[in-house]
Amino acid sequence: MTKLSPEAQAIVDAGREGLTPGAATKEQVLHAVNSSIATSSAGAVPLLASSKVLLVATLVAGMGGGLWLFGRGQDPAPHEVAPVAEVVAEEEQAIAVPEEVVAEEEVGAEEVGAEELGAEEVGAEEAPRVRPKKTPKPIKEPVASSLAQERALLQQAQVGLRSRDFAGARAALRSHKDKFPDGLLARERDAAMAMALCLDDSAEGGERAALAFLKAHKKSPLARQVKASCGVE
Amino acid sequence: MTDPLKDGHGEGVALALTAYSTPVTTERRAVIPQFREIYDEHFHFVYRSARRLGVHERSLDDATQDVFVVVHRRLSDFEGRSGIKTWLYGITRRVAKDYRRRVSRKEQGMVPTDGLVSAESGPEEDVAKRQAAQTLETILSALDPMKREVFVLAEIEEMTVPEIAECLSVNLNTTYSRLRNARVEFEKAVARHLLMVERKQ
Repeated sequence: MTKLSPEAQAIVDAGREGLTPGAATKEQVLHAVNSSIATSSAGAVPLLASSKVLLVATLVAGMGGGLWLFGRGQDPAPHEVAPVAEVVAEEEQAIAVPEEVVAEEEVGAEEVGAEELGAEEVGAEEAPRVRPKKTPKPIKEPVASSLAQERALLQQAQVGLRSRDFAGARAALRSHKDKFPDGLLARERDAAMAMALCLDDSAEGGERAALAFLKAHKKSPLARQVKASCGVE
Repeated sequence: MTDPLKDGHGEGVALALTAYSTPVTTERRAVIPQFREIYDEHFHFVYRSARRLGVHERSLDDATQDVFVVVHRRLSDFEGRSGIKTWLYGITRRVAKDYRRRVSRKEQGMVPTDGLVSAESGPEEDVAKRQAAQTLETILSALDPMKREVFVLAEIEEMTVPEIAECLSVNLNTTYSRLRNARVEFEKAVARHLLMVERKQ
């Protein structure tokens, strides 16, 4: 990688110096930070007092059989997403479709074929069509075609993210969520949505989306990118 | 100086403080720097980043304060998986976003002050610093925004390319490519600027 010319480097160095605050500002801000920290520590006393009230309320609620509901109210369940293989290369900025997923998809397609064959056999015997008690999960369309569509939407979102068209990226991701709420790439979609919200100044809810994603997929390779994009750890 | 935990923009901070917590091992803790070390080493980086990320001149102290309050609260959760600068940049970006929103909501139309005047240096020095900063910003404004961001993080903040790639959630090779192109563009802009200065003289 080439270095800057001496003239350009001089402009950079002088500009950096010009943008850098002095020692007094640094001390002043440090003092303010310390004050804030001290203030918030002092604020912990009433918080502790109120937590006793909460504890009593929790016990009362528990006696009435409402403990579960109380807990749910405080800590809502994270957004559920279908598990998929975690194979997205970190440097490829999410959304690559792993081979394992494709393999799963092929198996799924065979299973679809088997079920369809079963239906034909019933029809051939002209047996009365009795609806089974447990209805098998409806299959909207062949899995292969679904995955291709999922990939297309996520690639569209990825292009949006790279070109900073965050609204466009989110539109593609919403479309994915509408069509494939529990799709094979739901995890990648949720990570990309968090990033598209966090990186967009005009959007809200990025942190919430990021925290929900991290809570649900703490060990996902995508977690690192979500953390970096959203400033959460 | 404001208390970020009490005023309006503390909302984002408060959310950050409720981030999930992870048990941190003693070994991990040993390699993670103490708050004061982070402050001393990265204060300027945070301050400049906040400015570059659009925080108003007169809110820079407050924004930087907010960032370090969050850092203090969340340091025990920091596992060191990402670099410290990457982590700080993420927090700064979020705090800056919050400040920009508040400004756009409440103070639309206000003319920004030119800032950079400190009580600790003389007027001549202030003028020189301001001019240097303005020159750099003028030249940088000629760059494509995405390249500019990479360039600034590399050349002004002296971050490594992998750190930048992580900060911006951009592919490593893309980051290298952007930096290479940004340097070329920056050199051209410098040449144009120097030529213009010579003509004026």
